[in-house]
Amino acid sequence: MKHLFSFFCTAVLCTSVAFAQSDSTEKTQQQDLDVIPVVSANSDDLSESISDQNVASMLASSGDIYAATLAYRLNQAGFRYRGYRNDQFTTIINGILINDPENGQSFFNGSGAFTDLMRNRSGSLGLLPSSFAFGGLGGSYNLDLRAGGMRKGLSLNYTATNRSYYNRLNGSYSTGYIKGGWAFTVAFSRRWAVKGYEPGTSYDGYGYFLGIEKKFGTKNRLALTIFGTPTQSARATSSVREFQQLAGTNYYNADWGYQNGQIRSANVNKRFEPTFMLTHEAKISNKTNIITGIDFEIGRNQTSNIDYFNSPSPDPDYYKNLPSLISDPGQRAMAEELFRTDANVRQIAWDKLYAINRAAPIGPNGRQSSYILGDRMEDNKQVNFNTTLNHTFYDHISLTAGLTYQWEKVRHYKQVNDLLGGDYYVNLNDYAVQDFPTNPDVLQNDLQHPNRILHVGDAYEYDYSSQIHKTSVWLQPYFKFNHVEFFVSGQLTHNYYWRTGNVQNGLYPDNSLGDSKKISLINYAIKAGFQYKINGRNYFYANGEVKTEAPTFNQSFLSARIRNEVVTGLTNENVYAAEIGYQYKSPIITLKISGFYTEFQNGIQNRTFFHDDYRTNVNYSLTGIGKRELGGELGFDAKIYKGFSVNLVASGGLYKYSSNASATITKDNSDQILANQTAYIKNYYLGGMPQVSGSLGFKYSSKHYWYVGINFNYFDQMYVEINPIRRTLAAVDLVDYGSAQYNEILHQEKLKGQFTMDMTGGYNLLLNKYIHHMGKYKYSLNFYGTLTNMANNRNFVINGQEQLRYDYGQNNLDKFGTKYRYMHGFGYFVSVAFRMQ
Amino acid sequence: MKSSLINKVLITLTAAVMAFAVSSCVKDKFSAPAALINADPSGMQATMTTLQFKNRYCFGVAHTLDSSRPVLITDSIILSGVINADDKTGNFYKQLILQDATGGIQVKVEATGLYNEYPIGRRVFIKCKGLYLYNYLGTLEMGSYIDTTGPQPTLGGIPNTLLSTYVVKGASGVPLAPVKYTIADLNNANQLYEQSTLIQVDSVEFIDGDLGLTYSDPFNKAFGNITFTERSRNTAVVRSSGYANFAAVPVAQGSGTLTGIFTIYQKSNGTFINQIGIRDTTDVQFSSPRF
Repeated sequence: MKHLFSFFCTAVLCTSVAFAQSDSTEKTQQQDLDVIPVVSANSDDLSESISDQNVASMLASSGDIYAATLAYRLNQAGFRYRGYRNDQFTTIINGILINDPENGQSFFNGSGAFTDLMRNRSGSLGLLPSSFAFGGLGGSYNLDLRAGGMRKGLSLNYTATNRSYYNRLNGSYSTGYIKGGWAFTVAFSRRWAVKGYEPGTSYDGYGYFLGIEKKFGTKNRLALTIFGTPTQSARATSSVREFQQLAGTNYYNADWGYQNGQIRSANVNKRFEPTFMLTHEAKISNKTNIITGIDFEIGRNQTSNIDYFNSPSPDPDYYKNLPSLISDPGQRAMAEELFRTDANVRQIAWDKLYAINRAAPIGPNGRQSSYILGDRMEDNKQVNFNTTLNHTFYDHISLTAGLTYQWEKVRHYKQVNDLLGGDYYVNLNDYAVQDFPTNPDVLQNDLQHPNRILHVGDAYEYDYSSQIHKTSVWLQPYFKFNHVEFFVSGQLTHNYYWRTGNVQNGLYPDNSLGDSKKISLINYAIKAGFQYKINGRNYFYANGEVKTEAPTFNQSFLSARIRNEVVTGLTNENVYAAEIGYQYKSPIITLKISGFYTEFQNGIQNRTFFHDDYRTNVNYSLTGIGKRELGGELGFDAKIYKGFSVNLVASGGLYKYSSNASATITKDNSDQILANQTAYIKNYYLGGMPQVSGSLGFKYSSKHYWYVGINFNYFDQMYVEINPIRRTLAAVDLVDYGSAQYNEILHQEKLKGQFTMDMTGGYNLLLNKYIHHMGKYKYSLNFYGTLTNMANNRNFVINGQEQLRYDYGQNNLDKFGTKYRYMHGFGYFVSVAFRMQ
Repeated sequence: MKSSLINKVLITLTAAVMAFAVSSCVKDKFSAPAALINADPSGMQATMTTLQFKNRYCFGVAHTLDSSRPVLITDSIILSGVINADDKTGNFYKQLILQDATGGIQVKVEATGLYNEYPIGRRVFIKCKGLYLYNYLGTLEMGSYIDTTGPQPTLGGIPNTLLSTYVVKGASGVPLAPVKYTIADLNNANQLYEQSTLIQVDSVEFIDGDLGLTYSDPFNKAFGNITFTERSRNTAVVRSSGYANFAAVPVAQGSGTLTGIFTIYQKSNGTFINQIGIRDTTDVQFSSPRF
């Protein structure tokens, strides 16, 4: 779905960005979109996809309402632009690269909170060059939040919606430049839902924003921007089909239960990462511009879950609770009936957990909790520095150059949140004892504080820090002639990172505490392209890129949570990408056709999961992963008659694994390599997104400041994400070659293609003509609404994921079945905004 | 003039609206549930003793001992007993063992970590109707279905989800005194009536030949059989699981009191041996010197 919208963005943006290159200054789109409020595409639906949706929302807010609304919908079906993951998009805010160095993710946590401040932005999609960043494969996005550029006046907005939050209130006030070259912006936002879309979810997010800018003369701008969005949300996770069917809803969420008759979620995320940005821009001359920025982020991201010691899992959707595992039909029916009717079976039985903890024998420290609520903590510190120069030499040649330095340190650990009626918990490794019965040390998560008694607020289980230094320089000459424009750009990046263990783990006393080996990897990227202008209306372009990419921190360590061991054969990923396109643009018709090709080689992935045969956590380190993503895109927009227009966007791709991977298997409990296997994943489809999608839209825009549009969307070629471990010889061991069971194990499920329908509309009402004596200010009310999935299709699987755990004993695929996530049914997003300017 | 007034009003209004703090939507402070009263559920009481139950199903309405299949219990019988062993140390696994004044019985359960809800000393009520009784190599077990997935029909344990349907929890902390046995008493006991009860043997020690052993084999997860003896030189066996968390513990070297569950083991020649299964090493109180 991201395909469509981004394709649309391409159509809209390529002219303004790519061909505006020689303007030399950073390009912002200041078109007056006041008539229509900007829509946030950030629906934060489910934890695993937040960051992807964020990309959508950012690219969507490229300033074009079509793109924005398309993104809002496409996003919901898990559409990925050209199949790319989030880390292939580059985000610049106030001249500063904000992609997370630890995982490459592009995430601006203010995108849902400060939509009315996000008007100054520009973007480039795909391999097109930009004047603010070298850019990822998917493109780059530039947001200017400096106070001086904000629209003057007051804005108040209320939104009602039925997504992860149900209400949004935001407001901002900007002075514009006032005496002395100062400018100020303040903004506040609150998003909330007492009950979210999935049962057991809720949302509570605040946002604050302060921007101060001082202009020195006409050439220098210095801006301080501070923002933060403390957000708390009770989340939902997806489940296997059997539980969803028993619960009677595809939105079944096992993460909550009743405590004292009140709904309590075990999966609560709290995130607060305030950001301080200082940006200086010098417009040295008409030909030279330098923007330099530094930003500090310090914050915390924590997510709770229930931990337990020497006790069964409290998760109602734990696989052992699957009624289908009960062989007796009568007993199975009884278990199914209980699951259907008893909320304490279907959901977490908090009261029972309290009762269990309270019934524990009293020792010297009180009662030991069998069950606790713990938080997975990420304490994050980050500094990003960026400087970008744009210079025009002659009329025909311009140059963009940049330097980026990023530093990040994240401490990862667990922290006791609630002892659930007990008095303490112990910092011991439940699993280790079975493997090393004569070595009591292996039980210890922290050998230096053995058998530590834990209370609320204490760290436990794992505790390590990641530290990353990432430095890049890039250079991009751009040549522009009457009919031909071309560029070549290069980037050199140095990645330098390591793990620091803050505890000595009993399983790895010699390889867990202190600094790991320091990993130093150099990456290059070369990108070149040209466009040929046949005439003012016809363009042809082609771009290509070759680069290497360092593995992320997490992929670099075998089991980063507990040990310093670096993946054997750690290597850069090689990436090759190319795109060609043709565009026709007349006042009536815009048409764009493009094709793209991307090849990833030598990718690395680490998977850790509980292995039934080994009875312990095992790490599958997959190396040599290859992926090929190719396809075509179509964008068409025609103004038919007066205000009527029709548009069509479509994206068709073939995204597959292009090579088998080598799997090295290690147990969490020893250094010994258990096995080297091949994961036969070549030619399996990349899952988790529609590879074919399209949207046909009709729109009417009135001269009287209102419009209405309708879109018909189609998604197809969706596959579940495969578990590579199911495609090894070990997984089909003792299964007859070519038998039905054999084929079923190796089969990749294809999800059903689906239609959806959406509507949007907006209206702007100027109040001045109704109320007199309002002075020099303009007052207006904006109404905006979008209705999504109007047929209320609640059977649209937008993501299916095979579990990593595999039943080696019986090869029962339903035991650790595929987890499915469904698109939300009918959705609305209705807002009213008051503006004074 | 007028417009600036409007402005002021608007800005004040804005501030007021923005300051409006809706109470937190994501609840993260919860009051703990009220502590449960430690008592048996009202109106729940045993309809017969385990002895009466065994007589009825082994010699009366059914002949469980002779049946190769689990026998369905069709009467509305409620048994009541106190849990005398649990799975906390891993020596007992997927079973509830309970006893009343007349004897003991086992319930097979498809669940682990049972000690959390069914610890030693908890009274439970078994709603027997619909359950099956099975003579498993001399041990009487109840389960909830006939498992036909294997080569022989056998007893299926109560699925975890359904456990509370059949087993009702009563008061906890109920005191439980072991019955004193000599080794001769153990060897000559009435297996049907006395099995699965908590017993205690005084003045015993492990035999010389076993003193170098651990309670079981934690590496191969194999059972361990440690022989104990009295001054009279009678012997019997303490049998422990290789999965027990004390599997690697060297056996106690002194002499003293041994407590545990009366269990039955069928040897390959078909004879039944009476044994003791300890709940934890604290059941072996050998603080006196060897004899």
